[in-house]
Amino acid sequence: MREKDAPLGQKPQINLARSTPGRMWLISACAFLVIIQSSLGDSFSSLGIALVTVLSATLTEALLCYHSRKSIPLKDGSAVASALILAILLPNHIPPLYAAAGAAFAMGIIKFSFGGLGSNWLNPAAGAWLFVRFSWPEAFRMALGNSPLILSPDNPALAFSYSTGTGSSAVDGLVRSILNGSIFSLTRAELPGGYIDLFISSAGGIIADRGLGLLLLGTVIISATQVNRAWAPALYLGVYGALVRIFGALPFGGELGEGDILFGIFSGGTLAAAFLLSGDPATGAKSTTGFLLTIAAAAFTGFIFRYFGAEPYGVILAVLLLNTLVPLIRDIESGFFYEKQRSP
Amino acid sequence: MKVYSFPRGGISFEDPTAPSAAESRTAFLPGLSVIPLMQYSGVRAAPVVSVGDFVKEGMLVGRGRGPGQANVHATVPGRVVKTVSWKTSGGYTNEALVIRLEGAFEKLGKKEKPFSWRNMSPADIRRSIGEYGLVEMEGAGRPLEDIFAAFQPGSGPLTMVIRCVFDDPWLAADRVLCRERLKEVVEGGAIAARAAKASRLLFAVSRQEAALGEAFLLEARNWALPASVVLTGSRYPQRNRRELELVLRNYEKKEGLSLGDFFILGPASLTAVYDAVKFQKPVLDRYVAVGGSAVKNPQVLKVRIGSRIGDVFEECGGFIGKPEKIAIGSPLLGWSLADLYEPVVKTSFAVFALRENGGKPDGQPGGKPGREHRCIGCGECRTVCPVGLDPEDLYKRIGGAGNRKGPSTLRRVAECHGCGCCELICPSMLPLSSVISNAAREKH
Repeated sequence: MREKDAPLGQKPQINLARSTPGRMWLISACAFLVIIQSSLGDSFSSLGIALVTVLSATLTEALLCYHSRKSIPLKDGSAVASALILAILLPNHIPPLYAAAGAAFAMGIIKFSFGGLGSNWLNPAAGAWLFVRFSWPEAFRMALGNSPLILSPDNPALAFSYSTGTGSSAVDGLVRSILNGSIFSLTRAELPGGYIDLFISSAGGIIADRGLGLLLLGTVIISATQVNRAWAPALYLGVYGALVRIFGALPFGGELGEGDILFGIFSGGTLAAAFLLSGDPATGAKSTTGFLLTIAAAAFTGFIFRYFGAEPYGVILAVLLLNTLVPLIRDIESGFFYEKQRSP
Repeated sequence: MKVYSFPRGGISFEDPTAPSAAESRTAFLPGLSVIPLMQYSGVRAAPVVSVGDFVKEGMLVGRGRGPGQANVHATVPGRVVKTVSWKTSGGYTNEALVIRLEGAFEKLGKKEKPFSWRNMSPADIRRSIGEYGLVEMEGAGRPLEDIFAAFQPGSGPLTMVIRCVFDDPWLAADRVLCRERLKEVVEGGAIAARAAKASRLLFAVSRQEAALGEAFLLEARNWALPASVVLTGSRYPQRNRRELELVLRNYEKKEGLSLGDFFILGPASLTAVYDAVKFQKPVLDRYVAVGGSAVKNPQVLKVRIGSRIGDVFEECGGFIGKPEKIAIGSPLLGWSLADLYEPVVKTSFAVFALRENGGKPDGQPGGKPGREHRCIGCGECRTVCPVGLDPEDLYKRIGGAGNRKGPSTLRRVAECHGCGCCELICPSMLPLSSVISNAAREKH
């Protein structure tokens, strides 16, 4: 016996979800926290970059919508969210004009030309980052300067466990001694010097790395409010961290198992990639299985690009690479998971 | 005891504005009763009384004339003062008799002599059920007579399933009913089992009501049928036929039983069967959960069928401010009211009123669907779909500019049973389930 349970006219009378604009503005708020932290150490250069990207993104969207006679969807917050995510992926000293061009590219090419919000399979912020990174590579490199946050052959010590402590700050020393004397002493562990500095860094680098303390807070907020699937960044960081631990020191002359997980996760845009880019369901796979596999693949590829390639922000490149495969992955998933007749 | 749940999707739903399931109160009798001639998805019964006629409590006032129609009875004694018609939120026109309370009650408060049904044949029981106009007391409200007639079990055994699965806090009325009329629920199950020729009673009970399951088993010893309890999960839509059958098959396999086909009825339907067969009484009243953020004192009321919804809210202290939405059924799956003069019908297990913005922050139970936004492809609809469909894709195919309603789309649309999970959690407030369900109906 088969029946339709719902009589005519019966439908949900409430909605349990946090609305799309609510999500966008929450993500924007979290990204803005990162920008504020970074701004405090660079005379508000980071804030300037953020303002420029937001202005450029919203103006581009408004102009395109006006031109195509569509209603301007600024209230949904997606343009601001994309602009702020792009801002935190850029170095704090990048020329503002390039940041503006990147934001316009995100809105005009990646988002709008694919049909607008929800139709793009490439993350607009990550795509715009790629545009800026490879359109003006020299400007990007100059903006980063000789950042101590960048893992490179010039900075091999960063790849090794317990080796970031060289030249740690007084704040680092103070906080570390408190932690070692209380929490870590319970397990007879000891936090080496330098890791606290990662959270309050004022060195050059991308804004996400400079505002790590508040980025961490933002990731907690995003996960707690279920804006993303909390297991996605957890899986990403788990796979990435394991790879860093096992193989992370090899390219720099170390042995298996000597890689520095903490430095690997807290630099190179890894947290932003884990929480804001790879975990973005709008540019991810359809099924839980597919999402799981692509997240793991993004972590794996990100590790390879960063540690064995020449790109210190390889994690963002890896997300983009996986994004380009999304249409294919979704097509395969449709046939495999959603086109089959089910029983009973 | 092992708890059985359906494998994928679903929603865990808590709602502090739903009434407590601890106790019930009997509502005042209505001065004016509105007795609709049509059950919700059925066909209108033919009136057998006219304006000006005097009717007795429980008297036939509308006769069903075939499948989809159920007999309709007066629930209070009185005079038919007029007929009214109105357009429902489902889009069809309903008609009702308005009865002004007059004269003496013949059933209310009177001690009635029970009728021994043990010697009745299954056909006689089904005839009795049809005569008293019994319908499923929730959902589509199909006449039980039709369900019995359409049910064609295989040659194997048949199990009567008493569905006490509370996957929604708005099923408070059924929970109260199970406690207050436990014996009647079980005996109603035994009567229905006889009518369906079932050889076994199976109580499907939510995990949080395990004690109720034990009480059912104890009571079922009085009936010469093997009985058992299966504890189910409480994730919505566990009580839907498809999800319940998945659980029952799993239980059958794990326990090494041979349950055969399932005949599934809820507690309210079973007490109606009990009243009709044992006391020759149509459905005169029912337990209704009344609540929502706009209602002063949410509670479970025992209400006469035909009472106006406005009067029912008054029984609960009226409204706190102006309600934004008034609807029948659960907030998870209900239908809005055209106005407060609409009556309580046999399927009205709950009525609720929500304040503007549900009196809650956006995203909390009690919130109301707002303005639609563009789909962001978040995929949450896929995550919660218990059938494993891709609601986003189906919605875009059916409702999109391309209108790609190919055979494969329609085939998958037909698999949707309209639980509404996808629509409930869509951050873009898209009417996913409504659009897909409507397409499924068009196909049928």
